[in-house]
Amino acid sequence: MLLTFIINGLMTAASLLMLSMGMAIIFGIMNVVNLAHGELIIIGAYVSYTMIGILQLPFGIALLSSFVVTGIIGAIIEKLVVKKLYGKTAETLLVTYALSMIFQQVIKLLYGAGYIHLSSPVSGAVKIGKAIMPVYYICIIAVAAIMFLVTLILFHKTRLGMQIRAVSQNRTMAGCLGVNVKKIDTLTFAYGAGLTGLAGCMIAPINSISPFVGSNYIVDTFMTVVLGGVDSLFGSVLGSVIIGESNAVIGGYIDTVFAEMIVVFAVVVIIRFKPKGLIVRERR
Amino acid sequence: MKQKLFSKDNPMSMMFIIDILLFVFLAIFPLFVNEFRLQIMAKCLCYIVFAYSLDLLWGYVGLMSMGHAVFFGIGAYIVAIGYSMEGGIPSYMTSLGVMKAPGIYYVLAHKPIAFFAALIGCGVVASILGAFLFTKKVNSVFFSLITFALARVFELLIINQQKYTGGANGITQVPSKLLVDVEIPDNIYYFVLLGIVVLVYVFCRYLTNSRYGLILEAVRENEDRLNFFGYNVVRFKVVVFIISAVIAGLAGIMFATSQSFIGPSNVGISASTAVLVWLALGGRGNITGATVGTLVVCWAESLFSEQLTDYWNIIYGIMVLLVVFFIPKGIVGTLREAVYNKRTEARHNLELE
Repeated sequence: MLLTFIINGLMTAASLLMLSMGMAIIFGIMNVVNLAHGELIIIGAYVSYTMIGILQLPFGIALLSSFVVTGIIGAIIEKLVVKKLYGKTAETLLVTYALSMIFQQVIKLLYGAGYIHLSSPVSGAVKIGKAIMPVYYICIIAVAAIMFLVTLILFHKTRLGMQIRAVSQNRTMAGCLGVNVKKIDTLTFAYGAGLTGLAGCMIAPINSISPFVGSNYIVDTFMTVVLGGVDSLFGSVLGSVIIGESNAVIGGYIDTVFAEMIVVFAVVVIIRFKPKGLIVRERR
Repeated sequence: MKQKLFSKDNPMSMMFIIDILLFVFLAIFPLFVNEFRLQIMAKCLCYIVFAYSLDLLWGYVGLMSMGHAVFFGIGAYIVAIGYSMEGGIPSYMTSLGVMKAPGIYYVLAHKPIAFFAALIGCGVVASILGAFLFTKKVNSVFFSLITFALARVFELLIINQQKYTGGANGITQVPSKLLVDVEIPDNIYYFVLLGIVVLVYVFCRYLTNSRYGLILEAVRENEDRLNFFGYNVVRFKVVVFIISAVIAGLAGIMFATSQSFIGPSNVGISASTAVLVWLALGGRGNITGATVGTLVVCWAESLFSEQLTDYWNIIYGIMVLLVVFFIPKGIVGTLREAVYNKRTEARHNLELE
């Protein structure tokens, strides 16, 4: 039993990491709380549904297109809306909530209100001890790891990543040194949104997706990012493992809602005593 | 120097006039409409009280609670559970095979106990949460996110505990009684609700115009400086959080008894964000804005969703975008600024001559 739950937890943790990485970038680096995050996930899922379910294209193309489409949507959101509200938390929350309502309704008008069904691209399962683990779970864990590594390399080894970090640390100074601050903002937001859409595409085959389930994901992703520490991507890894495993194990033994409650209360307590999250990066 | 209440230079006087006009309108409203519309307006009255409660917290102290419907829900559910016990075990329980309600339900079956338990329950939850969060300086964004998560958890809990809370269907057929065991007809209950609205309004005005209210605004503007002056900021925050929660619970009681219904959709994230939108539209930090915003959004919602059900959410979203970008201070705030600025400008010109 326990082994099954732990393996399930590993999968939950990996999908949480994927889902919250975009949030970690948008919230942690740009300091924008995006309440339309859940809807970006759903948009990714629906793009993959369009590609696979309707157009009969292979899964790889669906992945790529969900990244591109949500990335473009993210760039548009940033350019039109979020850009004017940097530093105004309340307004950002209201506006992104409004966007989430608009997205929900538009998806419902385009695809109907029902649940969509996607079969997973790989079938089969492997046995680990007594527990059975579907191959697709391994794919999810692998994709999460790849996404994380690519993001790390992008942020720490490329020119663009250096500019992104420079802008987040000192906007004015970065601007003075010739970094196009506005362009970096848009790119960062678009990259975060794109990752979110990609994650939505990955989790679509194993979750029930309808236009209105975005809010199911948003609390968990917030908790993950806040628990781990908004400054650090490694914090998201830690947060997703803790939340994913405790959701799966407590949920498996007792009840999923109870698990969710315990996790939220635990996160509230942790935030109270470590307001910056578990992993805090030293800043000069 | 204390300004005269009804003078040209006092921006408050404009607000009072608007308020009085609104209450007169609400009082004569039943004369012109049918029962269906009256029922919608009764719902608006509950929501106005709910909006007042958040205006105290968000508008005056700057604490943006994104889960205020939790308190609305605690009040509404305690009263709904208690009041629906009057005909024996309620049907939402018997239909699931629960033949014996938990002991506390029999205690709540007494009307006054349920009523005060609802208010006290909100106060207790708020005091624990407030004392826990405010004693260490939790970032205001995190306060919003934590309350947001609590709203989600509360909604899930209500849906999950179907045996005891009616689950996703909610609790129906809550009797229209308040405090005493007398069923009040709808058209009279409307005036009872209006009476409560006016009482809460007077209380909020009194609180915010007193010295206490000024300190609350100071908390919003500059918490650190207030600390240096020797004020115990934490205590002010906790107390106003409790007051706000109790008023929200009262709104919940009004809602459950007047609409005879309470369900998880009234207590979750969407309900919590709805009240933020009313305040943003009406203008926060002045009680009048809460009334105006609630009335506008509630009526727009019920009129639009009769005709354009599919498009209402889109219209709603676009409306919020327009409000944030074009009238960030809300209807009343913008109006007040326009009138007040014109007057000071005129006086300034007069002085120059």
